[in-house]
Formats: sequence, C-alpha cells, structure tokens
Amino acid sequence: MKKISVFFSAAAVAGMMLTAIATAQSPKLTDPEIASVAVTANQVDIEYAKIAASKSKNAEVLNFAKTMAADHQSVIDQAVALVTKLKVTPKDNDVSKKLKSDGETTKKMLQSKSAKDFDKAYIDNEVAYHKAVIAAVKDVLIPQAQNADLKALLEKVLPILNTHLEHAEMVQKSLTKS
Amino acid sequence: MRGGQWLVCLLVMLLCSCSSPEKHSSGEGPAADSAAYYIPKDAASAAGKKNPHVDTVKITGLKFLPEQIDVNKGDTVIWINNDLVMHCVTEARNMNWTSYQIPAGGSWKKAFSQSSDYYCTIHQVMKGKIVVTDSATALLQ
Repeated sequence: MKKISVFFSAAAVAGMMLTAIATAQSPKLTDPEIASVAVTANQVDIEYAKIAASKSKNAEVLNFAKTMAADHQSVIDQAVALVTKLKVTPKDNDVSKKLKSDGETTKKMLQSKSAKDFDKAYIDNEVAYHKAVIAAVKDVLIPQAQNADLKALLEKVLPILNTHLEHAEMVQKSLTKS
Repeated sequence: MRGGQWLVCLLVMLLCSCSSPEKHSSGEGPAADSAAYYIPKDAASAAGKKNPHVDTVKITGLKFLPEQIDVNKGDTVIWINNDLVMHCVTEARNMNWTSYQIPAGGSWKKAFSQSSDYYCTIHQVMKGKIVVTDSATALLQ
C-alpha cells in the first residue's frame, strides 16, 4: 500500500507539472514570465532540499539535497544577474503560480512522512519533478524565449537538470537495494 | 690566406653538424608537439621523454571533456570549469586527492605520476580517467 501511495504522489507531481506546462502552451509566455517560471522552479526544489536536510539521515540523500540547494541557487543567481542586466522584472503568471501551489502541497506531503519513509518519498519526487521541469524547459521555455541571452541561459541549465535526474535515479536505485 | 679560409669553413661545418642532430634527437619536431620542443640533456630525454607540460580537461555541460586523458608521467592536468555550477575533482577509489570546490569559471591543476579514476563528489554521475604513461620506458620496451 505504501509503495502504491508513493508512486501516486510522484506521479501526481509529474501530472501537476504537465498540467502547468499544458496551460502555458495556449497563452504564450513572455520573457519576463519565463524568467519568473525559471526562478520559481529552482526555488521550489531548494525548499524540498531544505526539508531533506532536516529530515534525512542517509548520506547519499543528504549529499544529493546539498547539491540541489547549491546548484539551483547558482541558477537563480545567474537568472537574477541576467534580468538585472536586461532591466526586466520577472512577471508572475499562471505557470509560476501553479508551480508554487503544487510545491506547497508536495512540501506538506514530505513533512508528513516518517523518518523511515522520507528518503524514498523525497527521491521519488525529485525524479518526477526533474523529468517534468526538463520537459518544460526543453519544450516550452527554450522555444518561447525571445531574448538570445535568456535562451542561452536556459540551454545551459538543461544539462544541469539532466545530471540531477541521473543522480536522483542513482540514489533511487541505491535506496531500493537497501 | 687560402688555408686560413678553409679552416674557418671546416669549423663552421663542424659546429652545424654537431648542433643540428642534438636539437632533433628527441624525435619530435614542432609539428609533433610544439610545447615539448626542446634540447634533451640526458639519456632518458634522448630516449624520447617529453618536457612536463599542461594538459587541459574542460568541464562543460556537466561532463569532463575529454572523459579520458592520456598524459606523460609528471605532466600537469588543469581542469577548467565552464559551467554555471560548482564542481570538484576527486580520486575515485580511496579519495586520495581532491580539488575541493572549483567555482564556476574557476580552475584547478595537479601533476600526475600515476593513473587515476576520478569523479565529481557534488555530481556523482560525472566521471573521468587519467592514464599516465612513462614515455621513456614505453619507448625502451
């Protein structure tokens, strides 16, 4: 039963992200909106990492969470530096709002987990979340970005997300074995 | 007078014939490796040992490029971080050596006397390999 509920929570995250992306496909995102989505997506994962840092006792999970916090903060710093240079203010929109509200739901789910179940719930969510964010960056944000610097930044972020997914899947596999 | 001119010519020819083979006796011209083009001073050098030089590994798109680098014993490898995020370079088997954190845009270098597998402890799926060969020994075998 537990396995089923964890699967559904991970699938639900991916589903929610895909809904957010689908809604983004009809109203075209402007560059300030894309910047807002990018910053929000990174902030949400930093918040998940903070929960992991306080709840997990597993060295692999803690190391992964530390990497997530550091890397996503670096991406935010770069995005902020770029919008400052371009004199653009990130603009809240339906996708960034949905990311925030879905993030709150997932945070509550992670906080409610017992120490025993937390690691798997966190890593399963990281796998699903990174898959969804990669799809969003690749299929929506990069094609819709107008400014060349913003497009280039998103293209540089993509391999970071792919490596995070690979890393999360590695930890997921290791947790299944133990 | 004529005898004196011949003597000068003979001396010039002798000097040329002595310096020329010495300069190329490493068996490498500038086309082979311009950074290692030098006049060898001992037998090991004459057998083909290169001057220690710097090999570069770029860290780009969260990959070590090239993933495997072949270097001569004593050569230095420099890692240049072109990514937006921090990386590190750490010996894989026993963590015998580490760069600690290499910030975005930063670099780190180390001289190698033995082959090593290494990885980034921050992004554990990033792996690389240094293969050290002793060129003098290899040529003598």
